[in-house]
Amino acid sequence: MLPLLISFVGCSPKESETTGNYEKGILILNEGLFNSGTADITHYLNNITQQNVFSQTNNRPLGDIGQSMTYYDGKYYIVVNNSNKIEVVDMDFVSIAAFENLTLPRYIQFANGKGYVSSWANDGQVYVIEPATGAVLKTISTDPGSEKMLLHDNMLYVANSGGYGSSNTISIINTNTDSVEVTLEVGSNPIDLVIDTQRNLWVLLAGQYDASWTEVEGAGLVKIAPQTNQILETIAFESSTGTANSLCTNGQDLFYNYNGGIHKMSIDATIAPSAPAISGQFYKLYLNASKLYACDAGDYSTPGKVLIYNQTEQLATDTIHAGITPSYILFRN
Amino acid sequence: MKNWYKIGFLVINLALCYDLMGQDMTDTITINEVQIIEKASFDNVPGQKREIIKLSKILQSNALTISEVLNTQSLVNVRNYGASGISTISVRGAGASHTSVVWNGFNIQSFQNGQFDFSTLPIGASDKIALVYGGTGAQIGSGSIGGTLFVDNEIDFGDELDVQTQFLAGSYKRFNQYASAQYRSEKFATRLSFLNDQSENNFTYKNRTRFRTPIDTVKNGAIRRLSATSNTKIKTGDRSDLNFHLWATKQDAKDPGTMLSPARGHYTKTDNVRLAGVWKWNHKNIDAEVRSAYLYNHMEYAGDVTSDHYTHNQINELSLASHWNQFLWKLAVNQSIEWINSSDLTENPQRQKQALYGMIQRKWKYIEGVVIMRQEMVSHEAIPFTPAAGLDIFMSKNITFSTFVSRSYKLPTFNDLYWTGWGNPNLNSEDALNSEASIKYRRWKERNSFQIKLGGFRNQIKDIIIWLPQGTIWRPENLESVLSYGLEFESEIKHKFSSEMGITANGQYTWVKSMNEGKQLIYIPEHKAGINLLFTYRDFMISYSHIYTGNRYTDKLNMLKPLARFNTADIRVAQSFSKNQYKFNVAGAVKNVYNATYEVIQYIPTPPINFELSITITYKQ
Repeated sequence: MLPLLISFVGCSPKESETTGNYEKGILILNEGLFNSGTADITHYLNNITQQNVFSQTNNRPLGDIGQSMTYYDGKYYIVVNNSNKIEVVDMDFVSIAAFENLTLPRYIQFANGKGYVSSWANDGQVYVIEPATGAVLKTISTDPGSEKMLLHDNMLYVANSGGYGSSNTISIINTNTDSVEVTLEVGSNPIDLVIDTQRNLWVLLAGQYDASWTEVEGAGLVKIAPQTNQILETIAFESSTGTANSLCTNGQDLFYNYNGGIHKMSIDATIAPSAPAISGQFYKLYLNASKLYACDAGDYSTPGKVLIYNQTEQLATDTIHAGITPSYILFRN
Repeated sequence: MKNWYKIGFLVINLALCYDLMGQDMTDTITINEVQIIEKASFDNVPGQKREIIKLSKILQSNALTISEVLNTQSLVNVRNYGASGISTISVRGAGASHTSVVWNGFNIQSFQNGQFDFSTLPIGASDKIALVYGGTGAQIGSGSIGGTLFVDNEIDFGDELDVQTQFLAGSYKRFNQYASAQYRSEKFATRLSFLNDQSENNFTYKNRTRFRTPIDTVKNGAIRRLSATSNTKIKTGDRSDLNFHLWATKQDAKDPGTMLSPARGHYTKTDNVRLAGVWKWNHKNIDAEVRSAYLYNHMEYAGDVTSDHYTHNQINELSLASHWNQFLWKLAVNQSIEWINSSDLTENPQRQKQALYGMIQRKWKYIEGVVIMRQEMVSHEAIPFTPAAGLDIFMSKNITFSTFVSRSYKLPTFNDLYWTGWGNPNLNSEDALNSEASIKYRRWKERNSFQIKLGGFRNQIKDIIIWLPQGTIWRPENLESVLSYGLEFESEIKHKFSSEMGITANGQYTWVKSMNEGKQLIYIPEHKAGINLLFTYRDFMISYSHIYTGNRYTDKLNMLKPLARFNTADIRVAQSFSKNQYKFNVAGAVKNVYNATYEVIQYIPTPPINFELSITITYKQ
């Protein structure tokens, strides 16, 4: 049931209680400007926002391109993509360790006492690591651009986003054997995945630019029955000038960021909505406690913000000021 | 996130697209000071601040690069991007792409990315070097908004054969070999030289960004540069001669990453061929020149993504000049075509340019003035008219007041215009209005000289091209405006104790505000200062140079803690001696004498104290 719950709230893992200054609240990972070392953490709790949590606590930069972060066993694991590392901090955000033996890491999931780190290296792979030391236990080859992962019934679903090229598959890894059981062709550059209340897997296809980089084609949603790995439905999006990203669900509706805003679609729908439910240019999108959190990266070189929306209202109900290019949100309710 | 890689690569590409290395023999043993050269204008433009790059014998290592010399001898801000990375310069708060380099009268700034890597230009590549501050758009054309470096080769007729070779070894497995040969007769003179320069750059440093701040060693920082140059002059008549210049280079630079992002085996390979021919004719007070050049560059970048670029530039120019009494004029027409084959640009674009240039200069007893005009057509469309005017007022025997006003521009680069899917073909030129004024006091006696100069400048640049996100891609737009202003102070004292012993001391200080929406531009220090001391006794020399670079912001809004100020110092010693027709020079250098830990660019490590030793042998017949 836990993985299902995780999926319902889109991107908001909740784990056991541990005390610390940053144990509760909303943690925003700011990607930072490429090669500038401006990745850092914004913490928001009870209308109080604190910037640069990592660098102020540890007196050093977090790294280059903060990609994602996950809570596990009383610690935060922060994946720093272009620094080839995962920083591990306690609930006060004090550094405990840095795993620097990983190349181009993207996301991390935990299962069976092991960490699974997707990576763009070697045309796509997943590292299996020891959570305490970061020691690589195994490397599992996937297809290019291993990106978001979803754990469901001991199976790890990996969206192969294409990385520096393109891909049209997801890899399904058995976490008992740590091997790829199935590589499923789903469509153009799978980038995100969730499970709905009917226990169906949804995969968001980012789509791909045409040769002239003027139009994105192939974006869409794919509905899969995880028990059989059968594709139940493929819903194509209209072409756009940008790729799709960020798939979230409350169990009944899907939300994704595409073509000028946040789109909302019922899990029973067979065609995609033609217009966004909320208009805007957003970098990433998250869902927590029935609120949508949309990352506004602005010009990507000055501090951005996170806009909070009700699920269909056009106007944001609240704003959290963040760092440069807010890109990942961890909800610690 | 995927697009960050493209942007990141674009940034790297913008920085790395233009690599070159060159070497040309200069008789550095016999030339104490190189002289100013301005092929695209007259030698002395009233009102314009020009700095002759003075190279004492002690600095005349063929391995020394222009960026090293400019950092210690001028007011420019030099930015080194790592052990094997590029080096750019910022003049008076302008951007790296606002400094053009004119080689033998031809602008060799990259039209693909607007930059030039100054670390690839050893001082031995030139006979004459000068840095002109401020806009020279009326004289040079596109890109000369902040300043222009003139690099020139000259060889003259004579009766001489000489050969020179140099070996240099330094820290971090640096090895440099140089060889040149020169033959001069009454009607023919030629010089050929070769350079091999390589270094592992595997120095250690304390990595302040990593957990528990370990001592790291730079990996994958090796660089190798090969170059060959040839300069030939042929007498074609009583009043004419023909000059050929060739500069071919090959560079292999590995990418060591930064403190934050470890090396991943990336590299850049670059080939350059620059070929120029100049026919000169003179009769009485009339000079005519026909000039032609072909510039070729190939850059291959292998990283997370790979790219391949081939650029070509063909330039032709005809000029006519005359002077009598105190009146000078010059008229020139210029035609060029630039084209590129690139893995990242659309449909092999090309650009044609034609320019008409005129200059009138007049000298009176107490005043010398100049008016310059340029009109350029780019792909059959006229860009804004570019005028300039300057004055020198000789207020007394010792005091000169100078002022110069100019308009300059920078055309969009090919990356701006044609980057596949992201480029914007509707971009306009960046437009700049420069003004400056200075006062110089100079006093000299038989054994002493003293000079002091104080100046101020203002540079307004509009329509600066910046890349902005549009959904999930980025596009360049003419949106930014920068106002730079500041003060410059220079002084120099020379004293001769005897005919064999002397000392020179000079100092520079500059204060620069370079503002966009009230914020200082990143990596522009508000304060920079330097001193140079040189002591000579017979054939022995020792020099000390010290540079102070002030705090620099690294973020656009100046919100983050600025990058810390730093001091660096170098000491150089040299001893020359002769035997028969041979001359030997043994030189040593201690760089970063105080073992300072500093960052020119944030999170890019710099070497601790390091050493060089060289021997140069010259044979003359």
